[in-house]
Amino acid sequence: MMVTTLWMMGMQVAQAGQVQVPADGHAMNPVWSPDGKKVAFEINGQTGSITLFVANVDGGNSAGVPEKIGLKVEQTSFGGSSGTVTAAPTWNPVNKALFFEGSHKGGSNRLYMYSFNGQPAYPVPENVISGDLSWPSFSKDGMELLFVSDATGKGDVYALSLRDWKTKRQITSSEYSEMAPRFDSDGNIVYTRKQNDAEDIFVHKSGTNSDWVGGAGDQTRPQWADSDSSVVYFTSERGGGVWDVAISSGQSQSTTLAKDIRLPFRAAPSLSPDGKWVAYGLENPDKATSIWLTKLDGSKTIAIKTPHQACAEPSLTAVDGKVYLAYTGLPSEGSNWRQLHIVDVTDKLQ
Amino acid sequence: MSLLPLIVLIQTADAASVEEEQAEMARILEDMKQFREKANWVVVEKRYQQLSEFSKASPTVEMHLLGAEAASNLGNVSAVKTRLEASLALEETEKTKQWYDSIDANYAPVTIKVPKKFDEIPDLNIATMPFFPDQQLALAFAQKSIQENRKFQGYVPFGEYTIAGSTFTVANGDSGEVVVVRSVGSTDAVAKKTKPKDSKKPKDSTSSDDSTVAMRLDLGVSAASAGESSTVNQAQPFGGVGTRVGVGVGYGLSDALSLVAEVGYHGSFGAGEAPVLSGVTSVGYDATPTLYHGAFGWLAASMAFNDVEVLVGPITEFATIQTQGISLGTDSMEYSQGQGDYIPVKGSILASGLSGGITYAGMNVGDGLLGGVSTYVGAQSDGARWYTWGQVSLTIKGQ
Repeated sequence: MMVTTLWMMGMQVAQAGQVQVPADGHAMNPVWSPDGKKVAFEINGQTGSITLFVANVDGGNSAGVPEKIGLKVEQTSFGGSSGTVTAAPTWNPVNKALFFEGSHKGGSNRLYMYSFNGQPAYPVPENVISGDLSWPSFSKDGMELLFVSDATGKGDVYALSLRDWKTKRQITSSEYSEMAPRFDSDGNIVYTRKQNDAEDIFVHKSGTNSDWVGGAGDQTRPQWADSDSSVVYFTSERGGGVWDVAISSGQSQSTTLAKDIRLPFRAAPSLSPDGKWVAYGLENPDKATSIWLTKLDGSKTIAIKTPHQACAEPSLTAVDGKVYLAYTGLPSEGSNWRQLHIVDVTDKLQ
Repeated sequence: MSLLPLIVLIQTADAASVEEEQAEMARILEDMKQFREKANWVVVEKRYQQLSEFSKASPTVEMHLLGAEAASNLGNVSAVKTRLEASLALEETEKTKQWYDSIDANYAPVTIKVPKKFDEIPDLNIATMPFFPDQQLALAFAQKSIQENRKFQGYVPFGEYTIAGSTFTVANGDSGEVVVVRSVGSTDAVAKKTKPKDSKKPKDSTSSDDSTVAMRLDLGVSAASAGESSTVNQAQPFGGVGTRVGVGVGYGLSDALSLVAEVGYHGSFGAGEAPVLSGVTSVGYDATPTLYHGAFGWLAASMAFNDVEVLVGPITEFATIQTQGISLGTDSMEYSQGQGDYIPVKGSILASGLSGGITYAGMNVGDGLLGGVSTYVGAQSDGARWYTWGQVSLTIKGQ
């Protein structure tokens, strides 16, 4: 068990700016754009619809009304199917286009690209890859889209070249469900596989798929860290429905960084822009008024105290020498909807 | 019978007709939506084009935007722009305006022509493939159009392009360059002419209008002959050699067929014949050279077979003439025998007829022009005689 040092930052409550949420529902899953000037997030009204929004952020403050990212050209005039879902935003690191999962009620889950020029979202073509598509992420140069399709098996990992939106590679081909693939800088891919009711982490390297971390419970949503030498992920290995954040620096090796964390709805562990910290919220109500950050070497843990309850789903970005944290939380105990907040944490991560 | 019931009846019928069209258009819109869900853009495009067949009801904003989306997914940016304009004319929304403005921020209009001398149509390539799929589709649309029609007129994304081994750049602010593809090894590999007619609005590339306008110049030598007049007291047959220069335009109707209109100058010169008959020399006659100065107008249909062009069409020529010799009637008692052959004659003619020729123009001469040689012949009549001529010329014409 790793010993961590806890710093409460003098128990000073951070001044968080609230992002205006233009619809009823829980604000969830904030994801920063590569330049830190936009943050995409979901509003889950818990009525079968999840809607993606993007807020412009200037100096840590949300500017204007967030833009709704829909599947229709004109949300106001287009009828079409109800119960649409637009979710799981991820930003292309080079071209700043937003990719997301989208589906109509009863329809396939597909991936779309939105380029913020008024043009409707562009779908990954059905004739290129069929089935339900999910878990989008990118190669470091932004020119390859990694995702999961159930066109084969129960869900295999594919990579699609965005140079022509046609050339694709099938990374895995198994009878199990693969999920959450991520490239490292060298093109190696970490992903998870659900087999025997447990989710384990695998790595695709030099054309070979090999298991990385398994064990009891689920090991899920892996994220490359430490210059791609380690993998940070969530684990439920202790059972009882509790989740921890762990790091693995080698095959079958793991270290727990934080326990009893509040599992994000769909995000991977959030790393700081310098790659040294992992951020998370905690289940313990007494500690859930803070967002917590732990160094990946386990040497230090700090809390970002907030005026909110049930804080979770942290997402970090760096802009002009500042580090900003976006997170969701309830305004108070018993509030209806989670809200999205942004706070400057530059001084906290020294 | 009062007219009022009839007017009411007509108005009711007209209103019903509008409603019927609106109902049918609404049905087509539902069709468009369904095929949009399946990303079947070809069908969405077809359905949108059906909307233009209605005469009483007009497409709605929603229909235009779906049409624009279909055109975007098929790579036809010109059509996207046209449809967004139609939508904005009905209702200006921020998103639609943003989409419309993004076209000029990422694309520029261009016309690319591949002359027929290319047996194999070269591929259009871009140095750096654009990231965004709509731009990739626009490039693919241009590539397909060039392969199928030897021509593309529309919008392509900014970038450095290569075709037939030569390059040209499409950049922000370009306003409709004309790029004529040249053969590999040509010193002027790709010629550009900026700002063609209506450069800001290239036509919707789904249309099949292939019309083009290109200049034409013929500069040559000619030989002409005027035949026997059907009436007496007219100039005797004469002839000469000289020059014939024509300038005009070719208006391309299709890849092979065009109309050529030319105006020009036709000069012909011949030496006179000094009298040798005694009795004629004594009255002071001298040799009178033939001087023919004509201005012509020619309209011809042209059919091209690769580098060879065959032309034929009506011609009209007005000329002033000086020549020697008059055909005397039997009652011309005031002239001695043979004297008429030496009488100077001056006058003018207006003659019309037919002219045709063959042009071979396979050489690149720069600035989008082809050079070659032509042979033309013509026959015209002023009602009294036939004038025939032949010409060999240097021809320069636009591609």
